[in-house]
Amino acid sequence: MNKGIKASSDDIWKNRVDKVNAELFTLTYGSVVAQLVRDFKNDYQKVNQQLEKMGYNIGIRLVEDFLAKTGTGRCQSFKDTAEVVSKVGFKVFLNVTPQVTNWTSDGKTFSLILDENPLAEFVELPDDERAKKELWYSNVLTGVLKGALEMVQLEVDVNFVSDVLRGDDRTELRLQLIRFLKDEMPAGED
Amino acid sequence: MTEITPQVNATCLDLLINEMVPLAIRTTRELKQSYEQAIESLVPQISIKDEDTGDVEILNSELLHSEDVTHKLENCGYSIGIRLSEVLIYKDSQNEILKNLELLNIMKFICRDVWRELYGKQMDNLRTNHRGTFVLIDNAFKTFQRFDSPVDLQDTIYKCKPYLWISSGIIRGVLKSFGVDSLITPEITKFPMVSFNIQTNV
Amino acid sequence: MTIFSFWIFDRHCNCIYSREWTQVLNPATESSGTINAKANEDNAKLLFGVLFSLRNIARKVGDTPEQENTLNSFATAKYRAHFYESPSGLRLCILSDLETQNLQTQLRDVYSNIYVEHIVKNPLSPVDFKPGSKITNQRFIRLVDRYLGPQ
Repeated sequence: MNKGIKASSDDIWKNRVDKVNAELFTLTYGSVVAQLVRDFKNDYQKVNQQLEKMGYNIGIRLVEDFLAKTGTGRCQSFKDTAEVVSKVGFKVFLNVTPQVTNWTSDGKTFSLILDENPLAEFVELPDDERAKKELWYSNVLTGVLKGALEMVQLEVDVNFVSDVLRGDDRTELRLQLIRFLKDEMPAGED
Repeated sequence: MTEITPQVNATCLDLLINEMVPLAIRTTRELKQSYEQAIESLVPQISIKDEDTGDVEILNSELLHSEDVTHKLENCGYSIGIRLSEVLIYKDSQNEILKNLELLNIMKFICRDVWRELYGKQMDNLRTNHRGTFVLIDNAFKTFQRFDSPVDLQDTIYKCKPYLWISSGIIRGVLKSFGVDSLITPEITKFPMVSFNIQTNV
Repeated sequence: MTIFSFWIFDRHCNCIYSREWTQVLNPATESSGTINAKANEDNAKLLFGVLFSLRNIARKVGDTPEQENTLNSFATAKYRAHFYESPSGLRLCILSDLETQNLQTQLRDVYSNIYVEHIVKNPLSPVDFKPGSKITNQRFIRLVDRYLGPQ
């Protein structure tokens, strides 16, 4: 892992990124979640699904902006990927750097701990016991990560395992590598 | 150096807004389906990827301009507007707006403060008949900045229109936060120029 | 510096954009230039085949864990083909005269400042193209022409 990674992503954030008020972003996302909760009449499974799907569509576009702005190459290992997602990806888009931790011994699964989560700032879940058990408020992130990583040939499974909004101690995303995808071949070759 | 207001990359907000219309169509479609499928058959799990992944086919849906979709987008905008108003006034308690709550002054607040926060620029024109009707005009609506259909300009305009309901809702929300009820008709006058015709009950 | 043509291939190996300013590949036909010409479909396939093979050879011979061995260009007796591939598998190629040695910066610019800004961030444009579908956005065409086309 390149040691300059933190310095360079700080620089990208400072100098190469157009920024908006985080509150505007938070309340725009909040309005989307609230609308879904209303539409699906508190069926939180469906809300989670829609958020993930929306995230996937965002992720496959977001990754191109990421590659263009940062000039990041393909990662050599899933360990590198974890560092880049946290220190470059989250940094240049949300200006936070989640902690990478809880690696499994096979090196295929890790957690991102979000000490700060701009999506959920000042948010309270609906006053409904089921919401606290079923809604993953920031679930758009699981889709974004899946979509973005798939575009660089990494098929991953991403899930929230805890969220401070639900009263948990911390907000934790779990990423599991399913497989490295192979480049597609032109027709007629193999 | 610490930043005064927390910020995020503008691309995050742009991409989120871009996806709001496809989401509204998808939601409407799914709700219609589950309604039609009745209770005995379980609603199939939607897969994360489907025919519209990475594609824009969904914008060709006949639901694009449906009342359901329009209503969802306008409603999202409305709740953004209500809260954005609080944020702006809380952030700047010296704001001129608080000294004079006349309707015209509230409209100026929308044209100046709200629009700058949302789009980094002010509204270009404000007209009124002084009897409660206002027309707000933005000569180059920022949300449309990168919208360009592979088909033609007419198609671009057709598919842009639903996005305008978000902003329309925001204006209605801000007005409501000052206790003003309104009826707003947004229009793409000459792409990317847009106008909002606002009728108030004052 | 003379640029003859510009090509984009997606990660499914399909040509999603081709712009020819002169008919370098087929001097028999006279034309002021074409965009996404049907007649170029076969050339696109052949060109992609060569680029893809050379890029694979470069990776096989000379890749190290620290640095990828990338294909930057190759030359024939009449032209040079410049190649850039994004980590997301978008491949861009320019055919130029032999005097033009290196167009890596220009290829990256087209990717970062034109493709990403006006295709990827344009919600009316797909980013995953169905086989046979092409980039036809007027703004994209105009910007590429202004940046790479004859002055």
